[in-house]
Amino acid sequence: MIWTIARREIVTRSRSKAFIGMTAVLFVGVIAVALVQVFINSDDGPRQVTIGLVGGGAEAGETLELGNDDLDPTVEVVDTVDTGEARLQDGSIDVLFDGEALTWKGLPDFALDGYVRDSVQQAAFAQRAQDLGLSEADLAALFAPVELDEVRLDGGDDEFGVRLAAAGVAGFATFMLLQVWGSFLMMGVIEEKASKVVEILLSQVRPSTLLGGKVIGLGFLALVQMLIFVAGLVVGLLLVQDIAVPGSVWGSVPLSVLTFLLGFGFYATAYAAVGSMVSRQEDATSAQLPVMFPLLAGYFIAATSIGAPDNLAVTIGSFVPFTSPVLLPFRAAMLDVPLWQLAASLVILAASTVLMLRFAGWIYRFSILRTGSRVTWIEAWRNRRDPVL
Amino acid sequence: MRPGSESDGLRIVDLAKRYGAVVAVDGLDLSVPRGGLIGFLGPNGAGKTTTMRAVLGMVRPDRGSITWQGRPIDDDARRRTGYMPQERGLYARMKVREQVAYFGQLAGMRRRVAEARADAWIERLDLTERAGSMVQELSGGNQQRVQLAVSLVHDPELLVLDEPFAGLDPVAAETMRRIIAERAAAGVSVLFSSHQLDVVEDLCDEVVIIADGQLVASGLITDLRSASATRWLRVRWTQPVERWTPLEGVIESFDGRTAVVRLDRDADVAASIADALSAGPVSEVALEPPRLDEIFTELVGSGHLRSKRTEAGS
Repeated sequence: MIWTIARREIVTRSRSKAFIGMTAVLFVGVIAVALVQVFINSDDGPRQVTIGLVGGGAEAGETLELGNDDLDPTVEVVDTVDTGEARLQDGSIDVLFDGEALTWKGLPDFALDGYVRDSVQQAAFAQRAQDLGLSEADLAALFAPVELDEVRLDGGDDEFGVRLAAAGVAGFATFMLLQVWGSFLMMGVIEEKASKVVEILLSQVRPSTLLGGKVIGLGFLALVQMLIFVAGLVVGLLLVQDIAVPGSVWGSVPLSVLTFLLGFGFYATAYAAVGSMVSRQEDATSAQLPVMFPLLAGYFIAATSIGAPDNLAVTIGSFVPFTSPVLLPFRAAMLDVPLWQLAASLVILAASTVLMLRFAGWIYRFSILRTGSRVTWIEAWRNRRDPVL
Repeated sequence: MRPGSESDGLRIVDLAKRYGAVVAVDGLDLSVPRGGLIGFLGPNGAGKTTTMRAVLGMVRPDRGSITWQGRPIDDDARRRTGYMPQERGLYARMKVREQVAYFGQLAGMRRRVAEARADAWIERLDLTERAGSMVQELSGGNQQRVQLAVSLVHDPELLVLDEPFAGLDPVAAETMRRIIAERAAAGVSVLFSSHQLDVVEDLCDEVVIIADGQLVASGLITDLRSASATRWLRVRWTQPVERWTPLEGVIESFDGRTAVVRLDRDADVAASIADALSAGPVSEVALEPPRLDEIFTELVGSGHLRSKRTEAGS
């Protein structure tokens, strides 16, 4: 029975324009982010460029042909500045150098600009050294680089980018999906209550079965969207080349899925309980505030702690079940959290989810057949042993 | 009604439920045998809906037992029950066929079977052309038909219908009446509440009347009639009579040629007729039992219910 209910939720909801649109936007967005990563990290060798050289710059020609990691230049000698400019116009050379000035067709290419200036400088140094009678060895000694050690008080933060990406998925995606799907579930509960169809449903199935089926159905769709986020993140992390992705970031990926599922159980049933207490969609906005605030608080703490995630609010919040679905994976992605703390937080969240299922179940059973004015929390709690009307 | 054992069908014994200070049902006994068709009557707030919800497990009784086929009614038995709540409800944005089949599945039918049964009822109820429409696009009358299909799709053995005739146009009411009678004839136990007492009188032999959560009367309508304190004497003269004062009873209407007199049960009918004959030549004399609505008003309408409670019938 519970699967029949879950299936209806999945079928009707996945047909809705809102779901299709939201999933499509997510999918395209994640693909776009992954493609940008690929583009940034693509390494197809130095770029081919052509430098036009007029008379006076000839002594720099040899140096200019050397090239570097990024650029593979070809030097072409042109007779006059006028011919050079003509070739700039038709695009057969990228820059024109006459010993005095660099001429561009339009905006300078910064990499090429720097390269040409450096090369000219090198050539000039070599020429002046020769003029002064310095040997190659003297020159090398003169320009021997001074090696400086780098000490960073933050212990090296090259990983900040990947940590932030993982924390973004954990924090933002979890918050957004819990909020959106929690509201969907609440609206669904109100729809059944307001249309009175719930009375026929409850003549066939128990309230726990009905609620359970709805949570499973919508939870499945929410999980699909969460996995789109996670897949995007994993692809992004795999494409990162220069930086070793820290183990705790990889660990935060399955962790964020786990906390998402537990958080969904926790928040979705709370939203459903709120939905069962009101009789009209119009009352939903104010009724859902007590559930929305703690979730929002978790997101707020995460958002304001990006620069310095190692603070007390994040630490405490990653243990409190109201905020831990967002803050635990956020903290695990941003910092190296001791394993026992992860385990303790997960146990607290799992236990709280079980308690919330019970609590929300009581509220739901008592409230769902009550029509008229909004059921209060106190009223629902007092009558928890005496379900429905 | 088929003969059956004590345990056959639905039996409610000593059902009680209160909400805070409000007593909804107070020691109610009621039974619906297999194939029985019981009209469940009572003024608003008498406890009919609470009783029906208790049968369907939506109200936890404070006291009493509800059994089906001799065993306490459970989820299994409830899945073989069809229910039409007083406040109708369907998914507005779900297609008719899908919706009817969905409720069949909820009652434990396989999808294919549920779809086939849905199609059968949709055809029977003249909804074939609207099978692919959303419920919200249907007229009120058609929505009622879908509601009926939902309560019947899983071939229930017990039908609990709360005001099934409320809001039906005459055509739909006739369809409803025929289907209810047909289901009962097929062995389904039917308990239905209604304020349309003419329909109840026409449809079923037996009624249960409650008020203030307690049984007021139950049994065959014919027995309730003979137990009733009232009957009507109708006299028609061949020629207009100037004035006539009946020997006994209260005159209800008199238009010169026809008089209707309300007589008490122990009134001397023969003396009253003789008295009418003495007023002039009579062409027609009839002694009529009270109609169901009159019995109902007599039993529950006068305000001091508790003193008037009677046990009548089989």
